[in-house]
Amino acid sequence: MDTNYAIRGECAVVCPEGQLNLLTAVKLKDSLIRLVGEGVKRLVVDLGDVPFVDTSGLGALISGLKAARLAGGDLRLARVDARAKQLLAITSLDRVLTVHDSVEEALAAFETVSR
Amino acid sequence: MYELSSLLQPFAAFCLVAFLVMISRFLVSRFTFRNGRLIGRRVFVAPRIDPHSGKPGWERPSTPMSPACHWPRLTRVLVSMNVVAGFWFMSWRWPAVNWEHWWIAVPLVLAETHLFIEILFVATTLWNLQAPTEPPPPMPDATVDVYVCTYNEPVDLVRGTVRASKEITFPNTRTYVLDDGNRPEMRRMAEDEGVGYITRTAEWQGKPRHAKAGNIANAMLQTTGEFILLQDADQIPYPEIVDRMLGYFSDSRMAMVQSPQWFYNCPPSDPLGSQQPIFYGPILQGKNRFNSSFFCGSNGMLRREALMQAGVLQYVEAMEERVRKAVDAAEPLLEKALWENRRSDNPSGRLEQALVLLFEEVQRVREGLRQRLPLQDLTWGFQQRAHRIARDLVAADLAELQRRMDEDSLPKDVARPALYDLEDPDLADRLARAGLSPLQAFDVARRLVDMIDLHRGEEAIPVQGFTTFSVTEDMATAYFLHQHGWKTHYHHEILARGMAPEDLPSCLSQRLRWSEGAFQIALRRNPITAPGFTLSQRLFYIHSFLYYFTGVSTVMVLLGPIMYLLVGWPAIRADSSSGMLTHFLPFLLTSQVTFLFWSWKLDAWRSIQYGIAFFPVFIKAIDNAVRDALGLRQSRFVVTPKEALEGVHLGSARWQVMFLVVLTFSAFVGLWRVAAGWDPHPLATLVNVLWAVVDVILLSVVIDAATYRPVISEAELRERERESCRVGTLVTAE
Repeated sequence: MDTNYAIRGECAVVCPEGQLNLLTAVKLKDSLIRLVGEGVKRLVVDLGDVPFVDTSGLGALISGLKAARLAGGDLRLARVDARAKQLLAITSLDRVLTVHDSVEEALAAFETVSR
Repeated sequence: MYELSSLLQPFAAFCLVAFLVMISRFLVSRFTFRNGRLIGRRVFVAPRIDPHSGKPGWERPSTPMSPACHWPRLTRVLVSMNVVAGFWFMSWRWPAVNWEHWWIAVPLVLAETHLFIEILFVATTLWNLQAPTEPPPPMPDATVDVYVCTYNEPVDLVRGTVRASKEITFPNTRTYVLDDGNRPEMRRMAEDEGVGYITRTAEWQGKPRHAKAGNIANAMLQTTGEFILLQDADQIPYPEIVDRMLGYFSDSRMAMVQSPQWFYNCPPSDPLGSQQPIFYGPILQGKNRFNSSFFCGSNGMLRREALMQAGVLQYVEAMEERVRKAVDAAEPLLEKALWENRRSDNPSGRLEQALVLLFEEVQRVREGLRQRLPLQDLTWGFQQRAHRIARDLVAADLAELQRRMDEDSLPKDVARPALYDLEDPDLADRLARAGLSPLQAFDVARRLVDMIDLHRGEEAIPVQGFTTFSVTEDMATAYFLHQHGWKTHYHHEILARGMAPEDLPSCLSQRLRWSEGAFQIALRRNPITAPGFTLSQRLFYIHSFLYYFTGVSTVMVLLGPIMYLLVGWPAIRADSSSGMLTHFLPFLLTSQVTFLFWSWKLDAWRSIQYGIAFFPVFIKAIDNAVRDALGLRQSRFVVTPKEALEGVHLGSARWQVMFLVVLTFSAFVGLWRVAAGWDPHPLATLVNVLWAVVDVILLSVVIDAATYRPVISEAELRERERESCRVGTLVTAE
């Protein structure tokens, strides 16, 4: 699995490619935590090119969320396919994470301060 | 009454014979005879390390199987008779309560009813026992990690386990030593043996370590097998262990498969009751039928996906609870700040306004929780708006301060508040750190932002597969997985050999931890109301927790004959006591016959004795768990010692010994009264004497246990080996 990212203003858009499973989760987790360590606190993980996610993958995303939140930022998910959405529902992680349809929507969500 | 007395004599004779048989069995087990002549005392030489490692020809011990598995019809007939006789007994027992001495009579009848309910559960288990079948074939492509968990065990002991797990025949298997003691010599051993070595990562520094559960959670992030075989440091697997268990996971909902724990350092008489042939036998086998067998910490396999899912589910649970609690705590905090502002010498209108705004924001979060909006949006939105409220307030106050200072035309070298950049996102921190902000609102907002968050910063790893709300993480995790629809299976075949505690104090502390853990589960996630269980799972879990209350019931059963024989408080009305023979005897006989049948090959007698003799442990566990739940103490995971303590440990069995003495004494008092012809109700007295004798026989196990001495010195051991005595068997001490 490759993990590319693009810096958009204060935010980083992380685009993993390939399966996000027990073999690749650690890699994603490490790159998320490294980004936060480098001072990028607002992360969008674009799952558009990820055909399969398992619970280890969710674990990596949660680790990223923890790191971002501890630094005062946030981690958001964009372009989640139907199967991954189903997994989010089974693990009830959709109670915690918001799923955005596009990267733009996710980026905009960082700015929702208005009442 | 005359007809009854004629029954009394055969009854007494039967009891006497049974008693003599038991005594002689006990004596025979202690001595060695040759050609009918006594030649010495029997001593069990417990091996220090597994004597069979690497030796060819060492075969797995056969797994004892209850005859009830093979004779289902006969089992059901016996069980039905027993249950009917039990109801017959109960129908007499309740009306026979002697209300004159209700303070002893009512607790006693409740205790007997509880023990009867236990029998009903055993009956259900036996009724549903199935003959074990061959396990399904393993999936050839699956990958398996073997975790050898260690904390303080000697390196050589772990080495034995590691070597054995390298011999596992299933191809895609990798072994890891999970060393929670972080010992260099253990690392060297792992390197020598060419297996993985895992210790806690830096993330765990200063965070709760969660004992074995944390050790496993830490390792799960560093290995990649789809399935995990958990072995305690001393549990040495046989090569076929994975082949025999993996196949069950071809059912994609199967989360855990457990195999029995069997101990090679126990003598056949098993004085500490370690082998637990009833538990690793009919109890777990019976639970299979209802998908409610649980995990027992070692010799079991787990599906990583299931564990991770449990971890994510628990994370979400923890986050929801966190936000809900934070919202509950936020309101009093804000009210207090409002009140302090109003009461102060110089109440600020702006502060009041900001606090009210914050209050509204908290209400929005509460409303969002009610509508089940994602916590991420709720908390993020709240944090951003709280920040803005606080910042606006600071800006206004600083501007005010600036204006006043300009009016007062202070000298230019005084630090001006305007030096602060209001757009600086770190302003809040910097103001607070400098102690500059006069604004409680600011402080309050900061605290709220900290509280209403998602980070789970108090944990080293946010997603941990094993549940950590109980000191018996294995049972708690199975409980959690059952709640979420996963399956478990108990595979009844010995696939590993291990070491049991070898002295009474260690054995008691281990039992205490198990019972305490079970109570913690029951108190934190009440099995009666916990969602997700099927009805039978719910009943079996309720029973698992109810079981530990037998500790209380046992005390009543032990007190019963003492109260009658010494104090003269009969628990049963005198006019009903004749019913003993017609109502109690059938129940007693059917229970005994049923037990003899299903436990025929199991050596279950120890388990029965310990079921009674562990009563102080069970009571202490109840006490500990309640104080734990009330926050009066912190329970912790105690690693069961692998080295036996020297000496005699009657002190740790003081309650049992006390009851032994008093029961024996009261039995003599009763016999003497009947013999002297003073007793107005000889039948009732004799029944109580019998009852006391049975109690004594059951409790006497602690004497065996307290004086059990498996450890002999190295020199002695070598000498015995030279004498070509097979270690691990009975030898004769001349």
